[in-house]
Amino acid sequence: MALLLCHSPKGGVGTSFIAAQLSILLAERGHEVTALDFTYQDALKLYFGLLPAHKLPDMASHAGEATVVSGVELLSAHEPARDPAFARRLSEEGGAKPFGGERIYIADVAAGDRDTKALLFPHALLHICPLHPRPGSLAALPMVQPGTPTIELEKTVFVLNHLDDTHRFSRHSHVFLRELVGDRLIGTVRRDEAVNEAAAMFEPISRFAPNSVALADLVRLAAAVEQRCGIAKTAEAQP
Amino acid sequence: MRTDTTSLLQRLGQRDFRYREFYDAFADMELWPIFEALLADERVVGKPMSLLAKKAAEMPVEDGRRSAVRPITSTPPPRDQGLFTRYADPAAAPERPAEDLRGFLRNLSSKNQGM
Repeated sequence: MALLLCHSPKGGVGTSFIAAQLSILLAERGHEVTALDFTYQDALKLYFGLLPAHKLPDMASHAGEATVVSGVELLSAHEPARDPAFARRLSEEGGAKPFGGERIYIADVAAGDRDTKALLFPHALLHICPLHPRPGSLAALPMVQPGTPTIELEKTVFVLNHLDDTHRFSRHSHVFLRELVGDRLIGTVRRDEAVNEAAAMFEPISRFAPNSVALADLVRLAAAVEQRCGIAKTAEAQP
Repeated sequence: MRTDTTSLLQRLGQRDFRYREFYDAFADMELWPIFEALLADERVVGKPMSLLAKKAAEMPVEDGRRSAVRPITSTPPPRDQGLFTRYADPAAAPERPAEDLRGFLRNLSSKNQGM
């Protein structure tokens, strides 16, 4: 159905966290979801409650075995993305279209891995760019998609993660981004220590802290992504 | 919820937190130097329009002529348009049916073996 590409030009802004939570929430909303971890850090699985030692099946070589958590199929894609044949086939004119079918693929790509980001971008229905309300993150805005002004990126949407209304610069960053990119700021996720604590406990936020404000924001974000992509299920299909 | 938090809420006679939202209107927002720098960066906001281009953008489109300045749209593609039809140039290459990721990887694997 769709590839949703999660990548930010600045590391440490919660891209893996956003990718994982979107995967879980879209699965809860009735979609078939595969989360692809393209990062060397291999941290996506932590947000699914898996231990660091757990080895995810490789996207290219897994034969039938699957790691499915919270209704999401998890695959490691770091090594396959470095196969020159993978890049060649994805980038050739009129080439492969591997993200068809009914399934939603959510790719978690590290900030510094611009090659993989460039490779996947043409295939993505939506590019989700998480940001922090901090100068270091905002300063990376010119680098979202080099060659195209950030405000003209039609399939890029932004998520302001770690928003803290009690801090002035955080509030002002929110207003600034809203003015700059308009409705392409599709969500904000408030800073909530429950997110860290849930990950440290290897538990989903919904179980560890069901009243978490971050969780409520993420639910809104998932609905906004559905709407943006035109993939919202009917009300009857939702749990 | 942590035990110290739970006991604090009990002492306050509350069951859960209420979150207060602080909000600044755009007019109240301070224009921090980093915001100014970003607004002046062509990589963020594009090239400033010339007076002529601005005029063309403001004029209504008449008798089928298109404005020289393309408006920025953010509408997602229609549902039935498919993932790849936006990028394919039908004149340049025949349309390929969408395949799933496993099919793609299988083909990749068989191609590699044949190399």
